[in-house]
Amino acid sequence: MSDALDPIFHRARKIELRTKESAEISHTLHSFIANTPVRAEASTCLTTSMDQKTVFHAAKNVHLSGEESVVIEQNVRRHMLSHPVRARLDDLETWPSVHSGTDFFGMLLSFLYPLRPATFFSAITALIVASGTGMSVMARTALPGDFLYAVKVHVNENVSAALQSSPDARALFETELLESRLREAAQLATAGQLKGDLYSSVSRGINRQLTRTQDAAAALALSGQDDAALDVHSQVESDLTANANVLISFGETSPTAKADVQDLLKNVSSAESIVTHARVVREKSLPPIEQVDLKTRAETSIQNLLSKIDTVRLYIEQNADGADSQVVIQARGRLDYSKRMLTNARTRAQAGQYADAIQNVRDAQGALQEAKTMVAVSSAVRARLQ
Amino acid sequence: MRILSSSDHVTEEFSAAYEEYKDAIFRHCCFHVFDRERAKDFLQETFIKTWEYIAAGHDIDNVRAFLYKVATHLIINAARKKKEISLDELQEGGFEPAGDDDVAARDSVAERSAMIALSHIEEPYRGAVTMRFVEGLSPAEIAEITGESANAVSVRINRGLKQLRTNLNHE
Repeated sequence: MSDALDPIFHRARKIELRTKESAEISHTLHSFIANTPVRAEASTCLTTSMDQKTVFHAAKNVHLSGEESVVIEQNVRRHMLSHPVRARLDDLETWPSVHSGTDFFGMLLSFLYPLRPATFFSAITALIVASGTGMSVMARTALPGDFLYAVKVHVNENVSAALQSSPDARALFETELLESRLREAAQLATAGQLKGDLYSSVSRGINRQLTRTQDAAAALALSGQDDAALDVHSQVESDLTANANVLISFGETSPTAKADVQDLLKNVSSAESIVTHARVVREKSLPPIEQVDLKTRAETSIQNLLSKIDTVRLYIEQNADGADSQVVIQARGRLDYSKRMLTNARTRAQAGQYADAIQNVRDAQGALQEAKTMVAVSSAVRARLQ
Repeated sequence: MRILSSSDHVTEEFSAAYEEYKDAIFRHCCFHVFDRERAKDFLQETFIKTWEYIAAGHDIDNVRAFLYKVATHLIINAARKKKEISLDELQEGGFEPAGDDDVAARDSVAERSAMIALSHIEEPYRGAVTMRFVEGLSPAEIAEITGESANAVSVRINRGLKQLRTNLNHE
């Protein structure tokens, strides 16, 4: 049997690759080996060059990327918006100053003061209604520390707040209130009256209102109005910058009020950096925009800017006499800057650079807001000092 | 750092706490789960839970310790439901360093090697070692976070270091 099979096996042993086939397979094999390095075992990743110190040093470098941090922060902020801190009525800060009782209203306040806050203000509201609209009108110009300031904040402003039905209206209202708080503080500081408990109370009022504007911006963003949310941040930034400029300008010319002005300036500058950070975070979180939408937005913004420049120019001219001359010069400078930004925006839009054009418009709007606010605050300050 | 729920600056203070401690808490989560995406989820959940605590009217005296405690509890609870990622999965790409352009290739290798080295330390020693030598917390601070005594923490740190040295010298 084996004799019959031997020739078969003998021929089988002679089967081999042709030279060309061998060369092709060898080439393929070498390529595969070059692209598939030997994977080291876990423990051998830790070469002798890695010691304990190196391990800890490298471990310290583990961190979030900028984008990851922004995304997580945005998610946390959204949650914060829907879970506000539970307010405590006992922590109401803006109690009216209780007079010594030498006048009728002082005596009335002394009588009502021990009541719980909600009852107190209900009583005051009823009093105002009974006395006609005179008290409400008088309260409009009240400053912190004045008898009617509580009426201004807790009656007038609360009534107005209740009328703001949309996120847009609410955001506008809250930014206007912030402008009021800043103006009040500037009026008191420049008169050398912002000291002690009053300073603490005013600072808390500004910070509380600043939080409300940020919350209003977040509400706009949640309702899909990202641009409007950014506008709120920009407007608040401009207001804070304008107030800081007025305070700096005044502080240089009035040694007696310098300390009060400096304290308020620190508060305003700190608030400015918080708002700038919030704006930058929001800008980074915006989704990319289609080119067609960008073009429309750029063109619309440029048109709106034209009318705003005219409005602010007119405002400055009408109120220049009541404001400090240096402040008016600065405000006109900001107005000129906004006109230059408008020219840049038009040029960029024509060149198809719509994102840059929108940024120019935003810069111009910030400058216009600063110009208007500076004149308004300066006029209020000078009126207070007269 | 302390946060009072009644403070007028509570939102700003909380944001400041996020900026200050986000990377430390992220690392703490990474050294437990060795998965970047899961670590980010735990980080986010930690700050959300912390805010809910503040929003409910509670004050926090030591924000850093509180954040570590919350993160640790979240990880422990999750670990009871799901086993930790395996070392092989880590090597195959369960963890990637931050995607910033400024992270050099060799630094990313070093970070991955560090993660592997630390993964060899058993819990609870690993947590104590990383809090001590990566985050720079004192044994007393770690004790406050873990609820152990400072002596117990010191013992854990020593045992963890011993395991790390053993693994680094092993071939």
